[in-house]
Amino acid sequence: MENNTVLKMHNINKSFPGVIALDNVNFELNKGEVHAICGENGAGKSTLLKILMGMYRRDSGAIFINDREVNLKSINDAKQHGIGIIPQEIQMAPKLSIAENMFMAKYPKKLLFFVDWKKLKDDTKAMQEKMGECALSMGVDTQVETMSMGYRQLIEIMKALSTKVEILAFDEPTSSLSEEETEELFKLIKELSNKGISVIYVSHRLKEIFRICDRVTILKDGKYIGTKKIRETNISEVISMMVGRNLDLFEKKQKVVKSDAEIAMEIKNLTRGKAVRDINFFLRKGEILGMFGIVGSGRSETVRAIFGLDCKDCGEIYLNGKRVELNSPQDAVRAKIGFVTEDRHGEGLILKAAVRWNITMPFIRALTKFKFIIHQQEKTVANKYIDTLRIKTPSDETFTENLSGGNQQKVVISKWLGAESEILIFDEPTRGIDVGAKSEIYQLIQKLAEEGKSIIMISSELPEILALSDRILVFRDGMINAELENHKFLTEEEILKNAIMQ
Amino acid sequence: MNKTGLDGTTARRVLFLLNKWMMLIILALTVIIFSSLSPYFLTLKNLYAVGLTISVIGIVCIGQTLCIITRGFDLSVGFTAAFCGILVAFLTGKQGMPYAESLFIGLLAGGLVGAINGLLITKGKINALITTLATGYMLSGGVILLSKGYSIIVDNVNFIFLGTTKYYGIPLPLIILIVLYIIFHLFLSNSILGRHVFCIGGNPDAAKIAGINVEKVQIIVYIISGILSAFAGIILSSRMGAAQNSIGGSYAMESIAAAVLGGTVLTGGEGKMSGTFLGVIIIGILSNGLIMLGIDQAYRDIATGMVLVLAVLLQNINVRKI
Repeated sequence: MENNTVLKMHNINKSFPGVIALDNVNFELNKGEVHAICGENGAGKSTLLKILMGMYRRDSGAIFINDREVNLKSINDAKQHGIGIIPQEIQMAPKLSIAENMFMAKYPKKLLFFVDWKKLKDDTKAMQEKMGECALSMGVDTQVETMSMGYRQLIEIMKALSTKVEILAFDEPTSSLSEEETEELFKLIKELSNKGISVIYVSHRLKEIFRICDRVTILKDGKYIGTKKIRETNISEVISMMVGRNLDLFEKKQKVVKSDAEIAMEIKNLTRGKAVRDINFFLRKGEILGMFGIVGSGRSETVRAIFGLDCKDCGEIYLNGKRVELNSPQDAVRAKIGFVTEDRHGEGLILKAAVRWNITMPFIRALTKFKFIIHQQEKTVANKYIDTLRIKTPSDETFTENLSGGNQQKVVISKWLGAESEILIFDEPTRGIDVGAKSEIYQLIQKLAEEGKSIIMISSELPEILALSDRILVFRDGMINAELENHKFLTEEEILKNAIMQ
Repeated sequence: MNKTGLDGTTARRVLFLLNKWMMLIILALTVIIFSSLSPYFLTLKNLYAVGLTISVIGIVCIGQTLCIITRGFDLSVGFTAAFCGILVAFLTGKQGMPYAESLFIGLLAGGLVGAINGLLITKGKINALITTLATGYMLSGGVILLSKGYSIIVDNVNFIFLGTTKYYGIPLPLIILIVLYIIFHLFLSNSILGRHVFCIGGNPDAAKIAGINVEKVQIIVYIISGILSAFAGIILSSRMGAAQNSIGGSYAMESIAAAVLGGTVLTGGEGKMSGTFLGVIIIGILSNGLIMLGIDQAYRDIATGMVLVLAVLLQNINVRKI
């Protein structure tokens, strides 16, 4: 078996400012094999794929294709070495036809620069014939806009196969497919592997992996955990490999909120399309309520609807027992709700503005006289938070873009402390933050809860959820699949099981 | 990166200083060059003339700067100025309405144009460039309808007061200009609304989540731009004693140029009233000095363009942190 290894990635390292994304990761792919890469969100799956595709440059490590070392500097490099990818979000020119999309990179030409339309269509047709009935039924002139996601994926696969491909990577291929489309895709993947094409299958849907893959490689926190033959393992072993950890950073907290503490917020029948379906829950004063689920399970969508960022189809929100209407973030901020968003740069901060401006943004009104800002008072308040939260910054005038991830996050938290928020929503509070700063953020969140703030914490990191939460809501397909009391014996496996399986 | 260390630091420092004082350096250079070439350049009379010329476009630039800081544009400024100038002349001269009333209506019309711009941009979700381009077209049509293609000459003492009065030799429009810049400087750096303008330009999504009513602030900014443009147009027609139907075409370009020259960044969130003020002065002096030297309009435009490119190049050098 050893000598038919088509791809070998050896000791791959990659770090981004503040985070080590890949730490000596190894990956091997045999000819004609379907090999899954799996791991939690942020385990390093997509980074590894992007390095293989030449979209990121590795910091160190080596990549061998058919035993020859290669240096993949761009997507074109990767293509030339026979590597193709079917991305999770398929990007196409929606107004163009199937044929035009398939050969976008290299239209057949005639007379120097005219497109040879006849050849283009013939080539497309030929490709479709190879792929079988389903592909043929699409036609060649149909506008991509009118096709379902499953068909678009098929077009993307044909596009990849139109060049010589030895390795084809699928990134979460079933996330936007219907069940029948998924079945079609699995058939196709089997055919491809029978033809000798090696398939990399990135997914966290374990059931699918166990159905169609030959081997599985597990990553965790950017580290290589192991590779198993599917025939020799089972789902629970893979889950425990995905979550096993040995960091005392995540020691479970001792003090738990009293179960008779008053209820700060209650949500009834919250619904928004298919993303948020009939959500009901309550939040006690001083409680940390964890929300877990895989990406797209509806956690962020739920809190965004509560905060008034996305409008809701229906649903009632009660604060301290009183019904309130939160139709915009202004309403939410006025009702003393604060939102530390997942996308710190996109929604949390003004990168090209002083730390001071960022901190006082939601409550600048409180620092004014006759609608004019009292600058001295603003400075004092900003520096108060810089001191108490130990924000490392040269001064309150420094632009937030110059701060590290952890300190930027503290600036965002300061905003809501200054706005005197009683309910704080954290969406992935430690994403992209290094380990040292993480524990500081954890301490801060716990301290806020002890001071009587009510906290909702969305996280994809199980240890984080287990360490901090009093209760855990597990989301799946836009619904709350389970509500778990975080007692001593609750395990990561149990939470994950509820998030992945019905 | 320059690896020689000391030289790199020195170079950085020079560039930093150059960038910080660039506007004043350019201003000083133009003044020195023109005054050495023409003895009349640095006379008080000529400087007042420059002041009078820049006062109209200068007022327009205030609104334009606010719009650009919020990541927008106002291309309708010139036509708003023309339309409201004509409107006031029409009401005073042809309808016999008291000047104060027609002045009020003129400013109100400007505010209305701004409100429409703001509503289309925020509620209609139309790009600011397209919105203000469209309203600009409509207003230029309105100008022709009101004026029937001719200038409206107004024989009314009150009408010419704003544009022709002088105190101690200083033209009133120049005084108005300076007062307005001081007011809007204070507004931008000290008021809640001013801060919100910066926050929205810096990151509209973050501003929204912080509970700022982004749409309301945007609408107000366009209303301010509309009123100021109207005021500029009214002052111009007052100075001429007649409302011209041919003005305004170049105001959008000139005001964007002045704002950018003054350090307002087109991607939003950064800008200063003092910068725009200097930008206006530099463009005014450049034009005045070149006219005085008998240089053709064509070359004046080329010079303005070159100064603009030079200034922005210098700004970029600092951004890239050599």
